Amino acid sequence: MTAVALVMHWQVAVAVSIGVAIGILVGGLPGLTTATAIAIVLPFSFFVEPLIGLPFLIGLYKGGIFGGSIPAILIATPGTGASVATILDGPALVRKGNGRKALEMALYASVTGDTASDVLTLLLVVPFAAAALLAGPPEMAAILFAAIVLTIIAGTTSWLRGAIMACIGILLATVGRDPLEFGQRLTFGMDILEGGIPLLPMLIGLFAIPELMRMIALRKSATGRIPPPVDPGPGLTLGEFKRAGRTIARSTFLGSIIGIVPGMGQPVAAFSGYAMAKRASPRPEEFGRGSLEGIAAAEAANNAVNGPTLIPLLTLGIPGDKITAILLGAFVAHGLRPGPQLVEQHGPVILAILLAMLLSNLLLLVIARVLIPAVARLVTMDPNLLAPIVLVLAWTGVYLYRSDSSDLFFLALFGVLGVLARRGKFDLAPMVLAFILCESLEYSVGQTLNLARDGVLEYLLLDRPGAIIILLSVSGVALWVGLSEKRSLS
Amino acid sequence: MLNPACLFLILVTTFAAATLAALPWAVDSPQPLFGSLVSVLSPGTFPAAAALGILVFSVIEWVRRSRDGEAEESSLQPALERRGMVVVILLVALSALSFDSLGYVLTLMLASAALAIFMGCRSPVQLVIVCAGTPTLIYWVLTRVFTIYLPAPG
Amino acid sequence: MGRIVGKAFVIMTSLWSGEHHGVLSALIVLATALGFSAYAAADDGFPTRPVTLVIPFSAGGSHDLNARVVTRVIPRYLGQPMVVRLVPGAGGQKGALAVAESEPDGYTLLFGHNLIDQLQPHVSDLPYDPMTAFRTVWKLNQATAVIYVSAEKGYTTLEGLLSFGLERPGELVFPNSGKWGFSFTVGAMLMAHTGLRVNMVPYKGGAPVRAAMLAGDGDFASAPYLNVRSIHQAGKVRILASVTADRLKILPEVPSFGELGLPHEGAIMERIVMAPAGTPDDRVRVLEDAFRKLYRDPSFNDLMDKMGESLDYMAAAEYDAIRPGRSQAYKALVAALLR
Repeated sequence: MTAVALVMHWQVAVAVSIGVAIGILVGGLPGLTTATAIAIVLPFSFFVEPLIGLPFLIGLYKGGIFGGSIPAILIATPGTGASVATILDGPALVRKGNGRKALEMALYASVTGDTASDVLTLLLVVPFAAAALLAGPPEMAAILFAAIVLTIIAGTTSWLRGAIMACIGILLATVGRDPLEFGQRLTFGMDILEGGIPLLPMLIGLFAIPELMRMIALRKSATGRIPPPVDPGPGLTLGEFKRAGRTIARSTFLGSIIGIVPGMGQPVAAFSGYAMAKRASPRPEEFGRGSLEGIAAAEAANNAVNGPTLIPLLTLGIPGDKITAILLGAFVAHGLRPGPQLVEQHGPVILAILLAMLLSNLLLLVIARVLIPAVARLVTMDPNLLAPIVLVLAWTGVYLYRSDSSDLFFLALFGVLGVLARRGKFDLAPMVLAFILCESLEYSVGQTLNLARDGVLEYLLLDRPGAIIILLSVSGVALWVGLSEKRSLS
Repeated sequence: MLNPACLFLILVTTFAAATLAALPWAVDSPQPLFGSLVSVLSPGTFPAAAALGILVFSVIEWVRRSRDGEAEESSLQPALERRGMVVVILLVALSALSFDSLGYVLTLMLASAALAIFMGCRSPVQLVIVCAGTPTLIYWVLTRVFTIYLPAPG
Repeated sequence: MGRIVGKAFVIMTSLWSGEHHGVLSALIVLATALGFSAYAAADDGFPTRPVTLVIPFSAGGSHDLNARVVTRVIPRYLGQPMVVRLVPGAGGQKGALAVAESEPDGYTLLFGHNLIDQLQPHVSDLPYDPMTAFRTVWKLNQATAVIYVSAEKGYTTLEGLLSFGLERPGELVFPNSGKWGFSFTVGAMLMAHTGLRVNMVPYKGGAPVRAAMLAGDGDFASAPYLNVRSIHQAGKVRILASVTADRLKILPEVPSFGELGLPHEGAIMERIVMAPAGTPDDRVRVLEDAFRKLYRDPSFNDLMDKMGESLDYMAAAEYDAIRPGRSQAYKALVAALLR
């Protein structure tokens, strides 16, 4: 096969390796989104031939996604919305002295999920492409709503508290401009709110600040001594990985399906994978307190989105998210205009790209495996010095989000909120997911209502049964969970 | 001593109620096109629904708590942690103010140094390497290699 | 002010932590920091430090991609790097405001389009007036639109579509890329002129619109031809008309709005680089010259060609001259639409 021959040049491997390495570095710095990095690197890739330039970008993409898990696990600082699902268990594992296990599980789960979904993509290009078009606004709205409900019922506390948090998330997300009409909403004339509440400063405030506070509480000037170093711990054992096998399979399946739908995104996959894993687990109480299975679930789902997401891009020219939009630019610049004819005209190239994705998974495994022990050791640093570094990374992340120093105020606000919620035992996950998804949810609901014109119910029942099915199944699950919770309380 | 869960609920319900009350004034009404509105979904619907949801669920939760009782709740932060919280908030606020005038590097050097000193670090060597070095390194990598904008003094 | 603040919190925290040695360390750090920041800007020629190009949209859009190509090559002619800063929000207003309020020293530029500059003031309450807040540096390129329908729907001519739609007000579905975006404006112009009333379903950008059209969720849509070329060549959509005065050279069999008697003035998206209004003439000229040389650069031409983007540029003074007229035209259009 010419495609295999095209990929098997050593130069491609080098390009991918460099891409992966840079990607991990980029992903490791909170606030430096992979999208930004790819956009910056893009023109450099124009000057090399496509079969070197594109695999380089793909390597960067994959490296970046894994890279984001590193600060999430080690210092509870999220790089993107998707990393939040990893923060639920990562830092707890580090505290228990299992930091290295956590990182390795994240790596292996990510690579497994990614590779599996890439293989699926290779085999099922045609049906995936057809499926991509099936999800219109009503289906999107239903799925997004379902994801939020799933996260609520999978919380560590009662679903009531989860529902309250989800509503808070939605309310906060509505501040700013409404997505349909661009009118101002709940800004009360304040400039700082005009763009809405910024996501990354909020996430860093909710998760990194309480972690910083924890380090501060251990400080030398208070306790009079340097706290005992946290051991990075032993590596992941094969047994532990095998035990997470079913979870990884489930998450991969879920992530692949979510990946096919353009615009769904990694947060939905990560949170849904986590929620479903918790529901199915024999040890659900571990989730949120340092469960390797939780990490596996979130990371596998997260990464399983990547392969299928390229399908609508390659076959229809429709990008699934910001990163694929940039990749679209790269394809175009290399003379490959995605669209229905791409597969016919440049079949071997497409195949080669998909093979490059598999290659980058392999190289990611190798490179990250080498880096992990070193990186895990970083957290054993004296907290008196680690805390200022966390501060630098957190502040930087906040600023990089949208080049606005006033976002630091949001950092403070949500820092307080995060500490308070944690103490009051209110789960942050439903709030975060609801906040992230609210815009898409509201948009889809608005589009649906427009499409339905007069009779919403008729429209859904007659024209879009898929959406109804999703809504009914999720309501069924929620009801069943709610009733069983009630039964166990009484 | 107010326990944190109660405090959180009260905070949240007040916020929701206030939003609900202010909603008619706080939302721009959309412009009609050719005499009718373009969107069927009104901008006020989602915020109203969310705020209402908060109120309803909070009330139910409150009732449930007073009926079932809640296991021991820790009181709000021992004194030492409160101090830590104040320091962090103060550092964030001051950083926000000085970011654009002092620039990225200076602000972060000062903020991280302040934190390090507060934590008990006394060695000037460590301070210079960590608190001066880290922001500088990040600044150079981001602005020179990645051509990303970071504020410089002035 | 900043320095006082800086000194204040260092001293404050060291005192708070209760040990005086801390003050010494703190002062050492402060001294290092201040020493580091003591670089004076040389004043012997513009530009002496990198120029920032503010893009008021999010990553991955066509502006971002165009800008990446520009910033890759232009340092050769500018003598300094050009750094992209993405400031998305409110349909472009956030970034535009940031540039309007920045120092007019030529180091901060806005990369927007004509609709932000000439149309938005008439539909939103802007905190700046584009006509007085910005001056043109260079118009990069432009895009015009075509009207297309899914091949699976029965519309074969624009007249047929229009008469079908006129009989059934509000029924035809017109997916567009967002309120007062390029495709929305084209649709609105058509509606105003013909009395057609359609169901305008918003989508986030041109790509979801294409997806919706292919899925059968829309009846007709508008987009730059380049964006639908691949699905057109694959036979999945039919192009009914081009929103231009004359027929497009690449689509000789497709009628133009001009020959059909439909409005096409203003149905254009022009990508423009602008500077704050007070920027001195000589600096604008330096920037303009850099762009002029850029456009003669073979690798730049090659890259833009690969992206499929046009290169019909306009120099600063030329574009500044047409802005007020265009703005008035859009104002009239909007007045007609928002009755």
